Amino acid sequence: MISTIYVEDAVRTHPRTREIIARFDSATVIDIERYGEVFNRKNQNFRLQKKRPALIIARKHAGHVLATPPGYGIGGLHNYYFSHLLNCLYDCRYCFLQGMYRSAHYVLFVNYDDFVSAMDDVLSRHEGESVYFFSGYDCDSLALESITGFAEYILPVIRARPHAWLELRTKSIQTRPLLDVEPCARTVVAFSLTPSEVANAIEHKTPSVARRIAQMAKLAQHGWPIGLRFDPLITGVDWRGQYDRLFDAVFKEVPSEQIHSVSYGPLRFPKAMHRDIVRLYPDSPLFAEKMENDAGMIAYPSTLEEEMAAFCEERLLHYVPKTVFFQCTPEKA
Amino acid sequence: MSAAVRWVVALACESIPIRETWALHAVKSATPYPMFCSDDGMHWLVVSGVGRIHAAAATMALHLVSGAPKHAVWINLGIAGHKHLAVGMARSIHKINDSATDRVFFPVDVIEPAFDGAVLNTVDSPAESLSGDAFYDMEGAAFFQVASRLSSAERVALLKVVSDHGARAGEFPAKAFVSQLISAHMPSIRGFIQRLESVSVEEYTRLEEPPLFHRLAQQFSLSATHRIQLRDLLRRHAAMNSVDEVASWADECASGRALIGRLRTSLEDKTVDWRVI
Repeated sequence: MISTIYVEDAVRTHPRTREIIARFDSATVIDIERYGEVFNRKNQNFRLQKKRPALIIARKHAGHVLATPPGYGIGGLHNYYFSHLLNCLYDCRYCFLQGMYRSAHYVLFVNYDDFVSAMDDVLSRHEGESVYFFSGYDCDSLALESITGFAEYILPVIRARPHAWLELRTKSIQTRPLLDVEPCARTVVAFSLTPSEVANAIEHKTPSVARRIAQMAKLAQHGWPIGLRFDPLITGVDWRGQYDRLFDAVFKEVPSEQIHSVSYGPLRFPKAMHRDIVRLYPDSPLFAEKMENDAGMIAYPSTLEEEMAAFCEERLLHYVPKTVFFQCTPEKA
Repeated sequence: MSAAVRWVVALACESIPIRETWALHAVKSATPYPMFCSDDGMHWLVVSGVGRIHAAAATMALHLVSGAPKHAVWINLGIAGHKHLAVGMARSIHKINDSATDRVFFPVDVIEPAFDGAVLNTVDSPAESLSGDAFYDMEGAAFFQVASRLSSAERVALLKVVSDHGARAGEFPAKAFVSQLISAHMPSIRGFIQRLESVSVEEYTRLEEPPLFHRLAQQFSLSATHRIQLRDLLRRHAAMNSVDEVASWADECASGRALIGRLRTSLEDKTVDWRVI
């Protein structure tokens, strides 16, 4: 799976680095000084790199934990995100990562302890209050768990900090580290879902929606709080029917009492990012739909956006109360 | 739909196995660098001579003379010194140290490489004593810097074959021996080039103008803005599989403005059917 591993000098002897290199004993290991020498250089092509992404093992020096954009949250006042990993195993055509980076290599920051120190700093700033940490911003939280071991590492950290909440955002069905342990009431396992017709067409390399739902059901039965992220909402022929069937399938399997939060969000890209992604994938039908420039964001026409949001909310209210609805997309500028 | 392959070698004797494999013939050019081309124009080769300046200049000359398209792949193949690897061993370069500038470059493998990976040190004069587990040449860094600007790091490859364990200035292996060293690896190189060609074709497909663009841009009088709109609207029609429909009515449009308007309105009632994608 990984055939090339770049390793920063600073973490060459880190135990996590050694463990990963030992696991991929047939991979070519290349020494680098800083990950920026390889990652996101000019004249790199995300689409081509996606064919054979390398793993870059690096140290994160600053900005371990950052405040989320206003309006982003699942019920808490204080919301932060962190990225121990950049880029994703999957290849979803709507993903902003393909417009954010010129590289598709995975960058793993192995100095997990520094992330925890930064989380502790944040917790001390909000002493006695709940603080939410979101881990799946620049990556899928679980898809590369077999390499990163991050979930296994972070869960005891969250358990030991009574005001810390964690969201693991994923499309992965690699949930063994969660099923092997007691559930944590302050860790939400949030699954991103689109109708299976959409997922089959543009969520490349992901587990099927049916398998994701089955995995969610297992986690829910085990006691894990489940998040449902219908994000982004994608239009198409019979989109209402497709979302109806998706909601039916989810709530048939996942007990409502285990649903911690539900969010849905529109398909939106900053203008420059949209331009770059369309250049990478000009033939994608996703970018053939009518989209408009709404204050610098490229999105479906607002009437369609609003119609889709209203439809989904109305349907979702058949299954869960409005109190669990949240916005997981930044507010409009 | 065609791949484009551009070769840069330092020595004429290094070029012989490539010229034989792809039946390249000499091409007259106004540059001081000998160039060769296949009948179908897919493969072009330049012999740069020794050293970074010539490597950079020859790469640029080949780009211009061959009209290298954006989807071209670039390969530098040649002999190099190595402290302990046996003479004749070949490697794909995954890291280049430029001794003149202390800069480091990383070609990116997006396909299975031709050989195991190795580090290359590009130096300005023949290295008599070699150190570390690296190849030594006099062109690689300069070639990569120029070629990765003309292309992208994923479409630039450097392949090196051990010719010596340290050489004095002015000392070169015999020409026939160099050709033999390269020839021995042509089966692997050929397979690698086939894989690279598929990358080149993929890029060609991504970069090409949408269907009907050239014809309609020529047929209608279009402003620069309209050309941009035409390209984008045709791209969307292609993604919606409605190019045939456009072809059936495009000629009826009275003007470029009318064409753009109709392309736009005909997309209004279309939406993607994900079940058939």
